[in-house]
Amino acid sequence: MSRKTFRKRLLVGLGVMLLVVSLSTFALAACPSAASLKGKTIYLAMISVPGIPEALSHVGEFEKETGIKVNIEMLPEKTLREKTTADLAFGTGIYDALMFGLMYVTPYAEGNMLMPLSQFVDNEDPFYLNRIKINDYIPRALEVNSYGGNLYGLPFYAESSFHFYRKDLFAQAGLFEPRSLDDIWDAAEKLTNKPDLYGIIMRGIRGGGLNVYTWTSWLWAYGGKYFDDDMKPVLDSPEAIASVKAYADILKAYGPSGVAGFDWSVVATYATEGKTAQFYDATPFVSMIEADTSSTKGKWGIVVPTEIKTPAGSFAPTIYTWSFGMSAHAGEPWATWRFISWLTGYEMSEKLISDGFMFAGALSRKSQVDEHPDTAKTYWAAKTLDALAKAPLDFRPRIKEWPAVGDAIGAALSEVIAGQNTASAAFKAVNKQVYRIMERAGAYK
Amino acid sequence: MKDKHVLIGFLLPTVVVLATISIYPTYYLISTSLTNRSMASATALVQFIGGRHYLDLLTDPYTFNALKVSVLFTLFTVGVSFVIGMGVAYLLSQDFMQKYAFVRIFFIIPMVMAPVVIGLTWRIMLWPDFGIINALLGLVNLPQKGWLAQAGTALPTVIFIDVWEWTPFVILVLLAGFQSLPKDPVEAAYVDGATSWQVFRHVSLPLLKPIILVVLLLRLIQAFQWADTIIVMTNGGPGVATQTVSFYTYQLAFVSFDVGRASAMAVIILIITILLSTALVRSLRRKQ
Repeated sequence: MSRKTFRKRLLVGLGVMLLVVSLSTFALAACPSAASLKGKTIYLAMISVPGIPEALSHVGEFEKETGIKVNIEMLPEKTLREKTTADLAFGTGIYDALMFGLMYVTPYAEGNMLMPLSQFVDNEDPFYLNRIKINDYIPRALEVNSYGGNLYGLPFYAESSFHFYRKDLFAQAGLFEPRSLDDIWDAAEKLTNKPDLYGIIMRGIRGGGLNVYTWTSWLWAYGGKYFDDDMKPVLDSPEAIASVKAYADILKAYGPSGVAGFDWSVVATYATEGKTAQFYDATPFVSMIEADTSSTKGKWGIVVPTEIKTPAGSFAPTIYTWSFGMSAHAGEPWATWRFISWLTGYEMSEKLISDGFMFAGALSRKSQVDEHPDTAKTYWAAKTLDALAKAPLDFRPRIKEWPAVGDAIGAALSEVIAGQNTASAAFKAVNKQVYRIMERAGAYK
Repeated sequence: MKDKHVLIGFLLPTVVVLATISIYPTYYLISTSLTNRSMASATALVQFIGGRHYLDLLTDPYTFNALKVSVLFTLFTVGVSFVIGMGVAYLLSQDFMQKYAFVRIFFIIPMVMAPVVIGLTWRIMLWPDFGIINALLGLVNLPQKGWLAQAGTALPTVIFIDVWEWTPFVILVLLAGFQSLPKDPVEAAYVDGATSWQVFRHVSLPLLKPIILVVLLLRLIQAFQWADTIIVMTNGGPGVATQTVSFYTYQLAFVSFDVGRASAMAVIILIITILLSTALVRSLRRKQ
């Protein structure tokens, strides 16, 4: 074969390849008829968060209407992450769709493991779009599920944070609703009566989604940051160290011993058993403190973090979502899209409202407050929406290295809370560690 | 010729099974440890990077901390469970204990419980203000603590839980060993005027050495690879106080998604385990 013929054949080959790729993209994006999806089977991996069991009780209706068979694997959080990440990374295609927390949007999207959902929104039949009502999702919840201008996850659950305080105990002590960091310290000091009552409790156990989650609000409160503009870590800044010191000091002084091992479930137990006067944690805690089994039901007040004055302005509300996304290797993209958009869509939300489900501190849609006869009346609903709206988009840095970075910071923070190390020494060391993680990941090339 | 075929026929299934479940995964582990393979990208090119992960891990303070924690954990948990297990097994093997044989059933319970259940149960029992352990300690005026959340107590506490979980295994295996010992040498020693301790030390123990070797080897391998309950109980904390090598490997693989680095760490664990096991086998054989 001459060189000329070879080039010609190469060009023709490349042209055919391009055509195939463009046709397959078109085939993926074009909206199919409902009839063509009948008989398809899809596989999902998910975790049970508030509202999921209730929503899944309607899956039979979806299957009946669409003819799509839905197989669901419910998994604990760690197992879900292990199985789905391995499936996505190695392209085994076991799951068509999966549920993930917001800190995994960037790693998955940047690693081309998820299918962009914007193409489905753009090509969806108006009939279905109307049933989903994209604009009803809380904007911040959609924003944190986007990467590079593309949507990768449809939020089912979105939470923020409150500062919770015992109204009855505050009133007895002549204290008012805490509106500044000083108020929180003052109340913690006055109300602490160990071991019967602790002044304040927060998460202490290490983890990017555990102690780091609540501490990040304190980092913002002191004007600290994770990274500078060049993505170099600045966890050794005076502001960051001051925030660590304050977080650890208040827990050591007015919290229980062993608080360095507390996750959210232990914090909830102290709150519902009446062992703490204050705590700072996620908005869905309202469902636990106001449950019939809670000995402190009806005794709590909440403050949106932005309403508490701090050295750098105010606390930053946290944000966390559980969303549904589609594997880049999904075998049945349109059938999967129809299911996840139905599960997180407006119609499902209305079904849950008519079932009487209370959206306690976890809201993915505005209508879950506006159109809910009971949720709307609660003291937390509007404040949850407010906190979610004010939560910074990059409350924690949405970078692909976050899981490793968050874990390293969590270990350092728990070390300080446990009294093993000083804030300054621990965070100077972890700053170097984070730099190494980023460097290894190629962030400074 | 026929013999050769028979030999191959017998060996082949073993070779196939070994190749499938052991040789290939080990080869894959080692080859992955020499690449930049990561679960953070489905499409990135997997490149050969030589021993970079090994060099990096060997200069990482977290690796040395994890090794230190694992060695301490292994030494104490294997040592304590062996001493207790040997004592209880010897006691249970005595004739006067035969009527209490039913207690052996209870020894199985910790071993058959799922590690996650063990971790959660102990964690709840060890809670500072609500846990039963602190409540009991309070009754006798002993200090109440957050046992899993303080650097000085976290590792000893998880060692204690592992001893609780795995001593029954040591007891059951050694008990089977004691019961299978030939009676003649023991009786002969008694006839010659040996004390119970002398019989145990100079007759039973030497005869038990092959069983002791198996028990210690299994416990050593299991303890060095220990990570399950720690994930539930302390998540490696406080700080890195309970971060073992296996837990660190898990973090590298499933938190950092760094499969190449996690594989390198797993290879290091494999080498250390082989070295420790070989040393143990040689030491016991030499004494024999």
